[in-house]
Amino acid sequence: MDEFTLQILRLSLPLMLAALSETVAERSGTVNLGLEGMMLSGAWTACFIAAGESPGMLIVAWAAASAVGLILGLLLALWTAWWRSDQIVSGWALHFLCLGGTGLLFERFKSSETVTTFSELSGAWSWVPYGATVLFAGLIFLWMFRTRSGLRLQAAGHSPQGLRATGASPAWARTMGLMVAGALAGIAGATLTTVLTGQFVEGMSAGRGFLALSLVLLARWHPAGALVAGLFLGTAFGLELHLSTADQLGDPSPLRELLLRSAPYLATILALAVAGPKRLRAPAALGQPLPSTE
Amino acid sequence: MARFLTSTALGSILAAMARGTNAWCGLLLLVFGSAGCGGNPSEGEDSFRVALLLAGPENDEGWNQSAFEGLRRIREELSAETRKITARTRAEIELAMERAAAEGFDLVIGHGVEFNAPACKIADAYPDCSFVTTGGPESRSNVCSLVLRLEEAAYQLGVLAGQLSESGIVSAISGMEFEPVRRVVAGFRHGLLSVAPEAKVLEEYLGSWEDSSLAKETAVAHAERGADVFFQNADAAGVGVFEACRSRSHYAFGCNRDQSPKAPDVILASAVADIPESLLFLASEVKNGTFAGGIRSFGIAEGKVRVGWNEALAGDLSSTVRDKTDAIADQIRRGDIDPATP
Amino acid sequence: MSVWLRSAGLWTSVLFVALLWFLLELQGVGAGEAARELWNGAFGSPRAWLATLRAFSPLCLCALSVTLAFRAGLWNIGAEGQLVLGALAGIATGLATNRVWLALLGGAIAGTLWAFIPAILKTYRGVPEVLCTIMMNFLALELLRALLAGSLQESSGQFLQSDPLPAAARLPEWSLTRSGGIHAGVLLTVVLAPLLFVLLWRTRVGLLIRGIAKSPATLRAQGFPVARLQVLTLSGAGALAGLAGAVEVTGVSHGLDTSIAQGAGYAAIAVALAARLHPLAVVPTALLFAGLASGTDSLQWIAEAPGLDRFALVVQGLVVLFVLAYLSWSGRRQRHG
Repeated sequence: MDEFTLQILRLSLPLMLAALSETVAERSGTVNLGLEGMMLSGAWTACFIAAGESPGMLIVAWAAASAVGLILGLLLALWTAWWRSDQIVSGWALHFLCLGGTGLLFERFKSSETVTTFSELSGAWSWVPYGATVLFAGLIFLWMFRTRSGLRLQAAGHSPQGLRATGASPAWARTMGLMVAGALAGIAGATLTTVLTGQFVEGMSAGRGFLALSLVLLARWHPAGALVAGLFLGTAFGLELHLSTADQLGDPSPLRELLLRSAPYLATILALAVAGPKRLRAPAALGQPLPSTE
Repeated sequence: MARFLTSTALGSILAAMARGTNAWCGLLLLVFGSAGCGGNPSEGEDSFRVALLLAGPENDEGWNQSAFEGLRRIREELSAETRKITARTRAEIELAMERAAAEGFDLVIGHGVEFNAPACKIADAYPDCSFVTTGGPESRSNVCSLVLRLEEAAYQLGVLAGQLSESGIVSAISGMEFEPVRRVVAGFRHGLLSVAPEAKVLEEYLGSWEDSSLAKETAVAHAERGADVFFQNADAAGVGVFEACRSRSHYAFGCNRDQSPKAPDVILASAVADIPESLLFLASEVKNGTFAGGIRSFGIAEGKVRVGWNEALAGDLSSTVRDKTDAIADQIRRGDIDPATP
Repeated sequence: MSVWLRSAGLWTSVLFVALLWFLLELQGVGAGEAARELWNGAFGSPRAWLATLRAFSPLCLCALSVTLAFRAGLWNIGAEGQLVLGALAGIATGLATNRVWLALLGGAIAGTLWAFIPAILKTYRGVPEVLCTIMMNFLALELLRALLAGSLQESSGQFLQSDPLPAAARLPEWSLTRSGGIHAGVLLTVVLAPLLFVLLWRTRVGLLIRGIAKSPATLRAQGFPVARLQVLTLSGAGALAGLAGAVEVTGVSHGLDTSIAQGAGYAAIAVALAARLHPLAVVPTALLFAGLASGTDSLQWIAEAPGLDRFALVVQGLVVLFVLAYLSWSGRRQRHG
């Protein structure tokens, strides 16, 4: 497989996982603004575990990153699903917490060792992250659309009152959703330090979490759509890199450079503009606090 | 009106307080208040106090870290009381500088060209405080603009790259497009072209000092286009470039500091600006009372800029390559070569 | 479970205090001193007020922008990009005309434009404004970079910043410290808030706008031009955010460089929601958020530990979470009697 394709896959990977994470969260009715922070936390955790260790530790690193993400998701669920605080404000606070927290941890536990990334492994092993991503998407799909708990999850995002009328707890459904979303977000961050590069840098997620928030819309809140949307944007970034490098060899022009750098964002807007005013069915109760139990 | 108040967050706090149901607020106040009884020992009036203002993290392996190194040396060798403050926007910078001056700091160092104009503005109001900014066109009698001619070492690295590159295509990846950064890349380019006039430089400005994965992918893209020597000036993001080089066995260059320990299998040499030494030098001037403002330019001739070789890898080079590169330093010192001109 | 929830306020308070204390000890800082500095750095001295008010101005304007959009059922996530466009237009107009009010006007118009595009795309092509405005933010940053390196670059052609604004293009200031003062933009912000309130609650247009958020179908059925109103509202929101950018360049930085975008547009969303989308409540809420930011920033001065600036972020997050938890608990207590 040629380098360009590999590059596109690498660029898409964290976006796909982040979009998948947000899909789960938003299907259950929560906008997770802490996504970027969860990614950073996952990235640091994975790097901390796997730096300087044998490739076998990569699995442990991913597990640890997902555990950290899960706990953060739990935290957000506590605030938004149980205590009915505003989702945006809580997520925003969580983002700051993680941004500062990873900075403090990074500063405290500095190590000069790097991670042996999946990309550096030979043969089939380097494909594990991508296989895992597809597997996660498949599992999420099966869970959300074929199991009772998954349908409850969707009900929590669609009509929490209806869910409560059946005797189930919307708060638990949203908590479950955020835990899974958090775990996925942690893994999305882990790919930054175990697939794309082998070191942690403060603020390395560089806005990918916020990009993912818009990718969910492109994905129409569907797990498969999340993969496609992530791949779409990753391809756009890869193309931009490829073309601007070619441009450099010729006669670079600042206007062309501006157009190239803007292309991925314009492409995303165009993709939806071209699709037309089809009704974009967001989960009906997305962003709304759960109705009071009293 | 009352209903309006209670429907907002603020209103709820006020309402709850009015109802007196917060023993918890009182608990907090008690805890923090009692903890405050032991204060910090007050700083002595005659201690030498230095503040360093950075626009980025001090562990970025590059630009900011070198200044932080300088602060450490000032603290240790001049027995100074130091503070490191992060200030990114113009507003933050001005306020931080003013606070430092108002709180009696003897020296305020603003690390970066963005600190220059604010420093001059504050310095006019606080003539007893000394200011140093690393870069910038303005100065005052109590503001020194420290210009480090890193482009001279970059020129040398360009000469080295020109001799090493087999494809004639070389990569130069930088963080953000600032003038000092562009000057360094230009120096590199001129050095390269002086020995290999047909060579091409793939220049890229990432737009970030910390997106290491983007740096890596950019380096990969450049490698795919034939680049076989990589210069970077991207601080924390630069590690991405080193990783790309590692998987393809290409040479990379460090910048701002001797970055060989970061990637000893890949970094052949670094363009080193001895910022710590320069800052220490200026700080001792302040302490001794011999500080003078103005623009101070340090380069190879003053011994503050050099090429730092990674001896482990440099040993593999042929002596002609190394000697030719080192000889450039003498030419620059004598003034025979100007890195700013092609 | 409910016992836990009922006593949630208690154990979150304890947890927070413990966590903060632990982190402070790690940084070598005393808890009481930190608390004092937190307050002093926000509201304790003229310089602190300067810092807080300078952070307050763009935050409040953008929060008003977000509030206006929300009131029409639209998510304006693009305040950040609109602010950047407003700054670009503000500097260009200010340098060209040397009149501050023209610079402000230019900024507002640019912000309107930047919000108009997503508004049109939303109402006529169904592109969700959340996505479009986020993308427009990234586009705005690219545009900023390109222009600062190109036509807006300062005359020596060396630095990635614009020429400084001449005196007539700057906002008037009232001196607070030896070299700094609060700019008129703060006043402008505080004046705009009640104006927005009047617009939304005392005019017919405002009634319609608020109606869109509640039941657009009903309004449409009654023949009101819902789509046009939404475009109008989002564009108006863009004007406010664009104004914020113009205020920043004419009042604070007197020039433009890449540090103009510091996340005020995103933080404004949190502020708007925390203020329950009431324009009048936005002002004190934005002030508190700004105070929190400048207070935590101020922590860096009390000790030599280099990690204090990250710690400031942690404190910001914890304080907001704590306040949210406290509100929820006190509300619950209220209901349980």
